[in-house]
Amino acid sequence: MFAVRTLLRALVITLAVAAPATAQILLSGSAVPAETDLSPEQEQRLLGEYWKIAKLYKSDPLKTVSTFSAWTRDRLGKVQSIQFQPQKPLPEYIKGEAEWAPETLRLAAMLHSDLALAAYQKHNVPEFEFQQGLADGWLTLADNRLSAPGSLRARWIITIGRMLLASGDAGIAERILNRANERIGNDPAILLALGTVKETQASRFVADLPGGKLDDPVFAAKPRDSALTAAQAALEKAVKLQPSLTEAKVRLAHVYAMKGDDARAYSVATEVLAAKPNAAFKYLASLIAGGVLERSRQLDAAARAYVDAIGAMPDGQSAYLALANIFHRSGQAAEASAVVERLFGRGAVGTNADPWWTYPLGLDLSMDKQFEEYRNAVRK
Amino acid sequence: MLSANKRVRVSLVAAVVATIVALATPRAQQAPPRFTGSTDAILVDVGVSRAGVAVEGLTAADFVVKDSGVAQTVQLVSAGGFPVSLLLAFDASASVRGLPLEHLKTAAKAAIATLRPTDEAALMTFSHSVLLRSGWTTSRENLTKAIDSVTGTGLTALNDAAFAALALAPKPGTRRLILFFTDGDDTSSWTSAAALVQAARRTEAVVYNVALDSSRNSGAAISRMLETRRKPGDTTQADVEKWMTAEPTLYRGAALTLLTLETGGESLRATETAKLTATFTDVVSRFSRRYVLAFTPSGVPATGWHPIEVEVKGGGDVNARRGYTR
Repeated sequence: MFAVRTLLRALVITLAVAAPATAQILLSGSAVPAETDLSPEQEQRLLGEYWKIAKLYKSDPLKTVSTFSAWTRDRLGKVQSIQFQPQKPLPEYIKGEAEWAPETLRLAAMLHSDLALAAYQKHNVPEFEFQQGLADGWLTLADNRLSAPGSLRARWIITIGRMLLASGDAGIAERILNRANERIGNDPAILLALGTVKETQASRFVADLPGGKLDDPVFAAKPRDSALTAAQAALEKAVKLQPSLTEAKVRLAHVYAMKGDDARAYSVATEVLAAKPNAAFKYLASLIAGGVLERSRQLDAAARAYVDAIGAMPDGQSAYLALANIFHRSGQAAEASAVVERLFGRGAVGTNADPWWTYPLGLDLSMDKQFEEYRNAVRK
Repeated sequence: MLSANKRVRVSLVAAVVATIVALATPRAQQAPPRFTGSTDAILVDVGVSRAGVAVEGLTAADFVVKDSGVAQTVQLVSAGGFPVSLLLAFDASASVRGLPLEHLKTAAKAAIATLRPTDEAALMTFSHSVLLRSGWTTSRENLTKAIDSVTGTGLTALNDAAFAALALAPKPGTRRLILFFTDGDDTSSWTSAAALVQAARRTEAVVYNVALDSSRNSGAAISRMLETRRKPGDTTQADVEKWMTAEPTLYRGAALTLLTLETGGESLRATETAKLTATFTDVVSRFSRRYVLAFTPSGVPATGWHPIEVEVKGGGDVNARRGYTR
């Protein structure tokens, strides 16, 4: 949508001009430039104060979040930067106040995750990125700076990325997931999420009008093709790491189709169908296979694929319209109209009626539930 | 299409397909309107204007119609003799929520109010889903209720909605007007822009597209380019069509404008949603002042794509569908 794109562009410009340096530096594991130089004693006092409150997240998360929402960025950033510095001996007269227990660090991470989500709801993206960076920092320390695929950190970042994608902020999602992919290598779920973001960016891309003139497809397609290549690389790697990852295969088939590689698209789609996937993936794989068959003018086979899709998802609008188009292009206008009327007769509006509707947003939109699971896990 | 279809038909042996079709209402199976002169007659809905003002009072002798470059003998069929089937197809995605949607509803009611009692209308809305809020009816009360029920939510399945609008058969013997309104690009359709333009070539519907002048998306920019460069020898439209076929998603923003050009409709712009009422009633008014020409093709190939050229002696801007497929 126009509004979303404009907003996103504005955010990208804002972030480029006034990047939340604290969060970005923290993510890289180095120290934040301090606005105020604290003595070692003052630093430890600040840590003590922070952790005393942060630990209360276990018993009273709402109050804890409320308390920290009043803390300045400088204070919060300073706390984490102190702990992120390489550990060195403190002067003997200072009692160490840092927390290193993984369960406590994860507790703090979810606390800042909540603050990040609250900021995002208020469209405060710089604050969201700052708090998200803090949460990621604590999760990194909880994993002793070496997070594994499937870890809480990995799963939490994926949920953050998917939430951003579903909210129209694909650019920020891409940045966060790319960073996660660099730091937590070989996680098929991160690769799937990253591939999804790149695929959606590619499918949303429209030709620009440089200098008020239409760009030739050869040039206009370059940014789109670049996104597709990145999507393909991420999804192929995800499938290689986890061959049972059906969604990655479905998306890979679609990416191949978008790149015009119909042979590989059809091969992967039929591979998905042969494995008897769930209804949503059967629907999507059938649609993709049908599209490939239609392009090669195998209209009967394409129609059967669309009928299979309707069989999997009886309210699947995209499949009805694809089937109607087959009739229409074959000169069977009355049949096409009948299919459309049949679709309208069902009157399906819920977002679950057609997986294609949520496909560009990442399919699984249960992010609230996932965040709740992470909260509950760390508070046990 | 009016003419018999001689292309390869989909045999579709699957019983499920038959079930899907059989479960639909039988209305769609009815014959399309035909000119009485011949079962192979082609009807062409033509709008003529000079300096933006509709030209009325023309006769058949004022028109020159060529089919595949071959001049045809045309008859003028009284446009007023045909009831109008007006399909209102509105963007009801999240972006139109609030005051714009209220303006849209007011405009829709005003458009319906300008129809004659014998004219019918239907209401389709689209967000991620395409919904037929009201099927074809002459009941203004039912249409008003349907308009009042519209709420804004979700993404924009523009191409899906446009295809559904083209495919949905109206009552036979009517002139079909599709009035489209959207404020953005397609974001969630399965139907490609290229498939949509091809579908437009197979229908007799006339598409009028109303867009907001404030739209600054790529689609709006391409559309403006197509609308303003319709001079002889200009290849912009042909280029976009060619590229759209090669790249189904890249140039999708031009789909609706191409739809209006293919069907002989017009693209109109409203500077703000508060002015939609004037724009919508203007569309119905323009449509009522068009001409319906009929000819039985002669000296042309029996099958395939038939480009149509319509000119008015004495000059004028002509809007007519660009051809038909047999």
